[in-house]
Formats: sequence, structure tokens, C-alpha cells
Amino acid sequence: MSWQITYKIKRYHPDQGSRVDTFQVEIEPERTVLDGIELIWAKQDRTLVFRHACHHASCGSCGLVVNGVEVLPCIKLIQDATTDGGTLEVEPLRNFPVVADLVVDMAPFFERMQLIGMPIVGPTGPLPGQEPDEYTAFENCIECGLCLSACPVVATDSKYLGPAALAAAERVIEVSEGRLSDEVLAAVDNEHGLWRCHAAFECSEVCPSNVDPAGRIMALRRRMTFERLRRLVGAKG
Amino acid sequence: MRSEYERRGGWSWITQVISGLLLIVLVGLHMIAQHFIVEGGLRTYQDVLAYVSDPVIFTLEILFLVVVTYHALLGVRSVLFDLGLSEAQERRVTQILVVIGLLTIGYGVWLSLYLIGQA
Repeated sequence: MSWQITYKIKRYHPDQGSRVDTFQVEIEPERTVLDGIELIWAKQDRTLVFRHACHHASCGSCGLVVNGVEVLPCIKLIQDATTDGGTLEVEPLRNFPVVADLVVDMAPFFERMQLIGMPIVGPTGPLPGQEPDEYTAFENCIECGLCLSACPVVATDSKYLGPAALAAAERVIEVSEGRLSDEVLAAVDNEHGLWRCHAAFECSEVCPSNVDPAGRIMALRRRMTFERLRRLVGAKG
Repeated sequence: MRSEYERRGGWSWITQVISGLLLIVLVGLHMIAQHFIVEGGLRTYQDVLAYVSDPVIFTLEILFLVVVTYHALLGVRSVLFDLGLSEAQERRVTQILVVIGLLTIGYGVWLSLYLIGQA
């Protein structure tokens, strides 16, 4: 049985400005929000610009804001996003420059990752003494940018390093003590780095890969706080 | 973990946490001393004069004033910084808040000492 869904899609073209277009879509509730967008593109408007590739939350390229919440539309089922006869308000990710319609320029994400050295951390599994249930790893990050879009601090501080880069830094330190260079640490242990986070935890809420960036930032903060206190009392470490 | 690098920020957050923890204790003591152990829940003017004249109470109340002012203004600073200010504007905000804080604490200390003088 199909549902009648109204898609309200935010459109943008550099020459035409922005507007919202409305599309009626008949679609099964078990299909995804991305399926609906592809139906619109295939049957109603071939000019709709959006990005996708894998359809299974592995490439991280299709991230969008749907009804005000950052999601990967390729794994967001229609029935989990709305009801029969309901509306889906679809917008591009926040805090990124919009290229066209639903496609954003991901440069702000990768510039931040580059700032901390684009660490490539091999899959390690749980560390010694770490319970499998507690195991979350930056290696699972699919670089979708949902965390940057959802972060209220990124929205107000363009220099803020952001959740993904800070989570990556914490993971590098956790896996291998001391691998961060002074240059990277200066970017992390900085007023626009880990100390800028307001602990809204929106990044962890929207992360589709269970990286838990906010938890990572808090862990990094604990680490840096204890280190500062150790240095304050003159302890070596 | 490493050698040297320039640290910027951080102490504000750490001292915000510490002052927050101190506030739990100081607000508790303040509420108990001001309301819960006073007969009828409120002091008369003469009772207040005698109360602030106690050196221990005076010290605790001034410490409370300093901590609550620091904690509150640091919170205001954090909120204002979320407006996306330039670095020059951030410096100006910090300077203004420092002045407000010093005036607040100065006035509180002066008022307490004035009341002690009236006792």
C-alpha cells in the first residue's frame, strides 16, 4: 500500500536565488526518503540537484535536513519520517555553502579534518580493557558532515574545529599516545577547539555511524584538563 | 604527551566547572544560613547587621559573591560569543564584563562593610 507524501524541497540556484518547491509523491512507507527524491527527479523534475551514491549509509554523500533534523535519507524510511498524507520538508545541510538545491560544498568539513592532519586510523577494534559494548570509534566515520550541520556552535563560530575533527583527534590520542603533533594539538587545545563545545550533544544525536563525537570531545576535555592540572602542579607526564 | 605548543582558552571552561561546583556548596550554605535556621525564615535589619558582622559569615558571603559573579559573567560571555563576534569585539566584551564584575564585587564588599559599620 502506498502513502501520499508531500515533499517540500528547498531549491537554490546561484542565478535564481532560493525557493521551496512542492511535489506530491506516491510511495510505499517502507521505502526511503531518498527513494522519494529520486522519484521526483525521475518523474517530475529532472533539474532537481541532489547527491547520493551507495544507498546504504556507507558513502556519506547524501546527508540532508529532513523536517528539521539531519539524516542520511538513504536509510531514513518514509514511515519513520512522517505519516500517510504527511509532509517532508527537505533542505540541504546547514553550516555549509550551498552549491545548488540540496548539494552543499563539503570543503568546510575537509578543511577542518586537514587542519588536524587528516589522520587515517586503521581499524583496531576495542582497545585493551575496553568493553565491546563501550566501543565507539572514529574509524566508523563516513564523513557525511551531519555533525557539523547539527552543531549549534559551528553555526556561530566559523573557526570552531567541530565535532568530527575533534573526535578524530581524540581517537588518535586514544589509540596511540602522543601521535598528535604540537601544531595539531595547538588547533585542538584552543579556544576554537575542544573548549568551544557547548555540550549540546546534537552531533552524537544525528551521527549515523555511532562515532559519538560529543562523547569524544568530553573525553578529550577530561584528558586535556588533567594534563593541564598535572602541569600546573609540576608533575611530569 | 607532548612538548610545547601555544595553549589558548581552556582555563575559562575549567574555572567555570570549578566555580559551578563551589556554587553548589556556597548556595547551599547561603540558603541554610539565610532562611532555614532563622526563626520565621527572615531576619530583621538588626539581625542582618549582626549576621554580616560575623567574620566567618562575612568571608563566606563575600566568597559567594565573587564566585557567583565570576560564574554568571563567564556564562554571559559564552552566550555573547555565540553571536559570532570578531576577535576585537570578543576582547571588548571580555573587558566590559571584567569591569562589570569588579564593580559588582566592589559594591558588594563596600555594602557589607558599610553594614558592619552600622552594627
